Amino acid sequence: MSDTKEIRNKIDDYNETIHAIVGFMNFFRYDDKKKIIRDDIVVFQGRRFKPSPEKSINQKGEKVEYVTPDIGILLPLKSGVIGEVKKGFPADQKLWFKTFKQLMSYDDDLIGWPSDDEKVDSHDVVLILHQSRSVAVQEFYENNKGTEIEIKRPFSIVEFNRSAEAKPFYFFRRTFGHLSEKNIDEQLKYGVSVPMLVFISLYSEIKLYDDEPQLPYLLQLIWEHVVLQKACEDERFERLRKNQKIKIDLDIETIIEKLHKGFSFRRLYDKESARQPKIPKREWVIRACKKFVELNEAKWLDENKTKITFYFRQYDDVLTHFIEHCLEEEQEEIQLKLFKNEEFS
Amino acid sequence: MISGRFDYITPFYNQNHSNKGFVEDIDKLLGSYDLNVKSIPFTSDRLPIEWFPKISTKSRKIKVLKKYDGLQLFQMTYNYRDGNEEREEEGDFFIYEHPEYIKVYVAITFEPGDFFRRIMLPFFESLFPHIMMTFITHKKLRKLLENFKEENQFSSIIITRASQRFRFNEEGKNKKIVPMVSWPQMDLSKAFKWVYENNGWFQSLNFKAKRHISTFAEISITRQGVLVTNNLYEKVFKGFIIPVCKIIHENIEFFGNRGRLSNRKLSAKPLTVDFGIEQFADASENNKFIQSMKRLNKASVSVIHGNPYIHLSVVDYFDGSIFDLWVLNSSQLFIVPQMKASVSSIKRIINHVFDTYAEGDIRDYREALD
Repeated sequence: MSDTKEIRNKIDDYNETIHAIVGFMNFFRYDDKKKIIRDDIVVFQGRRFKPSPEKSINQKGEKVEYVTPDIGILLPLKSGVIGEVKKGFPADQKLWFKTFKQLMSYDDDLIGWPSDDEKVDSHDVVLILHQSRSVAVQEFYENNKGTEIEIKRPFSIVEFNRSAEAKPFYFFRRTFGHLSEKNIDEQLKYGVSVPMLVFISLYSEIKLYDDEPQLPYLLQLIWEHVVLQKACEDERFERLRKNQKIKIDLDIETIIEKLHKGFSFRRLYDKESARQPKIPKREWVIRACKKFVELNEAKWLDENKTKITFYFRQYDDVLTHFIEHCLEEEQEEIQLKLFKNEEFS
Repeated sequence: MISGRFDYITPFYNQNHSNKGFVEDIDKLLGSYDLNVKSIPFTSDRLPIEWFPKISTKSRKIKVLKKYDGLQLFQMTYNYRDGNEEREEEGDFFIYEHPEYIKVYVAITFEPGDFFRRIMLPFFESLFPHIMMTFITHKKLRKLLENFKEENQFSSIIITRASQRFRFNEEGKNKKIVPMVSWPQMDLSKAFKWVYENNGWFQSLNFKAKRHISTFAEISITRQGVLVTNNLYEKVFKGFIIPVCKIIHENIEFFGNRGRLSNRKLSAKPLTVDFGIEQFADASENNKFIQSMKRLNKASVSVIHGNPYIHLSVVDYFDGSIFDLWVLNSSQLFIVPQMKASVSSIKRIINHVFDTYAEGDIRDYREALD
């Protein structure tokens, strides 16, 4: 597989994970009988929960400040659901313990639910994973249950798959355990197909979750939705030719804020909270800006790397431009290293 | 004085007009003299009377000659070099403010075709995105012509000259829409059937409105709604210009406030283009659509996903509008405006789809889902 294709596949996986999160949340948000979005359900993504004193020290003896499940749903009557969403599992099964350790850390009296006292009376733990691994992961869980893996709260595994058909849909099916919400558990028992076109607004509004995207994709999002949006306020924008550029000054906080407000799961949970970290994370944006500087698309304005000047230009295909330039730059770095090694060997 | 002919126009310009009886005044003038009148229906986000004089350049000067109620007379002077010679051309045009539709205007001139085609029309086109004309779909154009024929009891509409474009039918990056001019002397239904079967559309049509052997008017109309006629201006205004103004007005209403920044929650307000047929039944169609979108000038088109479904990110470099485009079934295109999405940009994207790929009906996404 070419490097370009590999990056594009990873971007696709990233989006597929977002689609799976949106799709699963919607089983709870959408009132199928009344055909409306329920306003008594709170959904959130990447929220920081404080563990109970018993679980605030991990097996290595380190303090655990917080846990951040991929998915969170607060239901009426103070119950909830939290879980992880995994598009891919590594080939080495030993590494699967990491995911289950995360899930075990959610099997706790967590503090941080978006309720008045930040607690719930009960909650489910769910693993949402791609269909390709669901049987193997289920076997892995059952083989290690009671020894390495222990989850006391209601635990379930839900598989998902995107159909490769002209009318694409996401298929969800509960393959293990039970969800406490009986009607949803019943729906998912036999599997539910969710047509993609139902969610095109949310798919277009939510482009980031709390896992770092491929760098070229983040560069594209910053370029199109932050840099360009400021560039078009410049009176030269309208007449800009392809060989011309406009200097755009931005600070890192503005970039984070614009993407967070416009393209994260904040779209579904818009209350400011210290427990709800801003996505994209600051370190991702710094990394992206460093890459812009390396690619001569920008320069830092201060030593602390809080302000940056972009050299805005018009590209015919922004995503391909950044994929190709990131790859070219990687190739150059590899060649430079090889050259240095030869020089000193 | 219009060169080589007796000047009927200056006295007309010197009369007092208002937008109320103006169409009738023109109608009378055309009925009496051998003239033709050219009309450009458009929308502008700035007031022409204030704006036009300010955008004079070294080679092009515009001044306001007269101001009436809802109507103004402008003069445009254009200087250019022809070999070693400095030349100057001058022409006048009215701007008619639509009495009902805000921001909708019609530029009207009696100047010769050369001035109109080489100087005046390019001037209006160059002001995009602040000035926007419209596009008339194949289906709508046919309907306008049929209604015009019926309401005015013409026995036939004979197409005397047609400029048509054919959308490319094969995959490939460099395939372009094919322009073609013909003089079919066909009646309406035959001409429209022929161009439709060849996956094309009319860029412009010249036709004669006839009652048996008598020709009552020779009219031309372009896909952008530009009208030229030598007679029956009131009927042409009612039959074509008013409906085109209505399309422009509806575009402003329907495409307006679609950007996510236009609402506090930053919610998307998608549009649907319904092709009415199984347009994407074949997987190879995805590539054709992507290639046709990639030919959108002054834009970035990034493919986020290409098969089996399509997801594109489209940036319009005219004003920074951004859209997510999705194809998630075989008959519809979904256009999701991002933070900024101007009316002119939405119209440009849809116009491009219609011109280079296929025409469809535009609807609100929610309505389309129901």
